[in-house]
Amino acid sequence: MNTFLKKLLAFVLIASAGLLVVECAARLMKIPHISHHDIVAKSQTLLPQVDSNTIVFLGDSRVEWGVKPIDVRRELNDQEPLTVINMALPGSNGLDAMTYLKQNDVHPKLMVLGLSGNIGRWNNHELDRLQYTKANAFFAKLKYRLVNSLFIADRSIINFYRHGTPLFKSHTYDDWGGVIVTENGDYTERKKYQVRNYTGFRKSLSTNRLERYIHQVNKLIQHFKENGPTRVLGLYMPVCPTLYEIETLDDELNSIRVDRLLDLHGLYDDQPDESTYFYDCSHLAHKQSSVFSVELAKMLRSELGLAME
Amino acid sequence: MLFNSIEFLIFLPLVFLLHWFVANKSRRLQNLLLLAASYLFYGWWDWRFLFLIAFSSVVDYLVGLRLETTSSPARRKMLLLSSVTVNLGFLGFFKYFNFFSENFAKAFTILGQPIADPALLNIVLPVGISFYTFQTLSYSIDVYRNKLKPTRDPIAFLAFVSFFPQLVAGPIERAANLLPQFYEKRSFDHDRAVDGMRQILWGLFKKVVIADHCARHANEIFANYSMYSGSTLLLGALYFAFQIYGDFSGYSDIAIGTARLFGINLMRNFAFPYFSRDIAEFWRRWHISLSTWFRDYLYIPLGGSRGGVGMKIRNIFIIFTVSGFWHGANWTFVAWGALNALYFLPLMLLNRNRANTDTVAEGRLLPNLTELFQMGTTFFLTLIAWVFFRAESMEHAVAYIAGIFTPSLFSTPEVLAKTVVLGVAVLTAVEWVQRDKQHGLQLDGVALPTAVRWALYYLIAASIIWLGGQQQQFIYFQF
Repeated sequence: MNTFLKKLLAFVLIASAGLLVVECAARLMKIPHISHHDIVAKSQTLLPQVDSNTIVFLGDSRVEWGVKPIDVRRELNDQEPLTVINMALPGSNGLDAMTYLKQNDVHPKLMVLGLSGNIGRWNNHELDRLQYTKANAFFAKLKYRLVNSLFIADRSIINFYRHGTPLFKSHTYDDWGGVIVTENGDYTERKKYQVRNYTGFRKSLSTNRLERYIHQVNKLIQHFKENGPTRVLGLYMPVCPTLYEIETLDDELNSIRVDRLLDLHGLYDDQPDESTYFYDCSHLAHKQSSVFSVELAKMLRSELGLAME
Repeated sequence: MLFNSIEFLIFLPLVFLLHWFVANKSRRLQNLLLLAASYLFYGWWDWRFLFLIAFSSVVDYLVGLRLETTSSPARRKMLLLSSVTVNLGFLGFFKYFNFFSENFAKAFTILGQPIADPALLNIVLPVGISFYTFQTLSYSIDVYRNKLKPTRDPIAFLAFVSFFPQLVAGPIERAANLLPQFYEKRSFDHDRAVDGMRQILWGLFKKVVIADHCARHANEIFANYSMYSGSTLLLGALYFAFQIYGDFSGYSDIAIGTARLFGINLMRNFAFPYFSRDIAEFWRRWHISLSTWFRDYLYIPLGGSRGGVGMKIRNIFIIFTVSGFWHGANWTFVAWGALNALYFLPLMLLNRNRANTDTVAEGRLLPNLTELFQMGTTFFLTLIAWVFFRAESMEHAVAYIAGIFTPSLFSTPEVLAKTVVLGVAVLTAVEWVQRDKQHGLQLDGVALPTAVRWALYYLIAASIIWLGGQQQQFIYFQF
């Protein structure tokens, strides 16, 4: 037994020393953390907290970056104590979290589903109902802290340097799913990158996939309408006009049977300098996200039956 | 609790140390600790379902005791029936109620009596219910058949049913193998523990580096099959074949390795099945604990391979379709089982089902052309069958297979994840070299300097940490 434990300890110590060397070297060379795709940690931490008193935001990174739960909550909680959670995930089509909530018989007060022109390309992360339990939340948070603070624990870093994008230096979550992004490069470069991306997306858009998505999302919306008091809103996040022109799919969006569609794509069209409002033409800039979140919360007041200020 | 989670990384060393340093005073203490740890492990997911395991275990324990003192055949049969009813009743209720309800409604609709709103239950399927109910059921049947003496040690019995490494996804242990290991105080065996650690490492590699990456591409291709060419669909089936193999055999390796740390030997569950030369050999190498369970408790009681041709065909179809249905309440699983029965039948009827019982290319580095052809054909047949296993419906499976056999089968695949293919190639190469061993990282008798061995361990551990795919649930948990 002692020999076994000594060997095991030696193995762990050597491994730890190796990891320490890598960590120190990465810090000395100022290699940034990434952690933008740790959806497991985010979902494990947040999904179990959704209940009938929650406003939950779903969708892709536009919603994820652009809606700050903390600001929405601050705006609304003067009248009613609500939990606000941003469960949007990078590249998500919203089906993942909706399916999870359906399977667990959770009916949030309000569900805001991010929609945009490229829904036919979005992914379903297929969140695992067994992993995202309250019992797992503590360890998920622990893992998340490690991932956020240690270079060596940030697994996505390998993928980043293999298929790196010029979009951002780092990407971390707050406790309610809001996102903090550290900028990389200048606005023009980031916009160029997104325009190229979305032009490609548009070309490869599959009608079948789009129809399948609409069918699935409508079935889920119907479930929430029939089985609980949940209101489901669609949200088209603000984007810069160049991108909106590339991706517009009005007919398809109209066939999604949400209770109400908040189409805010052109909210900042009249502004002279779009780089003040947008991070990369597709996502809102960090400061603007807070401003937008307050504006959005005001729009949500009527949906929640709250008095307007 | 998942094997590939932080919780388990803390839980396992803690239970290990308690087992060998605190509970090592007596067998009873060791069993009590393993029982408590197993209930914690399972309850971590949902503590309410612990009552189900406890109830099922208590029923079978009591049935065993009564069977010992009852000599009347009618009463013995009744006792066995009560165990079967409780265990299969739970399984039927949680796993199959909605399936039967929906299918009855469809049948009535076809007969002109539509049922608009069939009764459906909105319940969660308890993790691993198919595994532990079969395990505890085997105990009652063995005691009924007088093949096993019933236990009078309730703690040992409860620990046998709920032993955490294999509780949620097997191997489905037989009482005759596992239960006696709870009767004696276990002592630490260094070599067994070291090999157990290697097996855990290899299992994690298969799960995290191979299966989780394959899952991403298999999910994408299966979900959007109508968009893709035949070659990509074939590749999608291949990704799924390695996903399910890496996932399930990986789980089994971790389970067996973990059990060995506690001085317990579990039965082998996989024996490099993709190197099989025919379907009969494949089924002797794939999910061995389930295949042998059905053989012993269903196939042989039905008459096995005795009797006329008609009876043989009937028994083969029953065992394969029931095995398919065990996996899930969907016609796709039944079709998967039936397809394997069709593959198996010619071998059975030509008396060729035990033609390949040795290790392929034994004593040689490479297989000969015949063996290569046999392995390729068997793998291809398995691949087609996996499409039914993975598909969401029969229509999905048929359309997917039809999509493979089109002229685009000979085009370049749209989704060729080179790194995943490389990972699969590494796995295949390592397992080919190790095919006469118990697992891919068994190094007993292999002359390697310690430094090389350790470098190998670090390389695998590093790939698990940094090259792992997005964490996915083990597929077999749902069964």
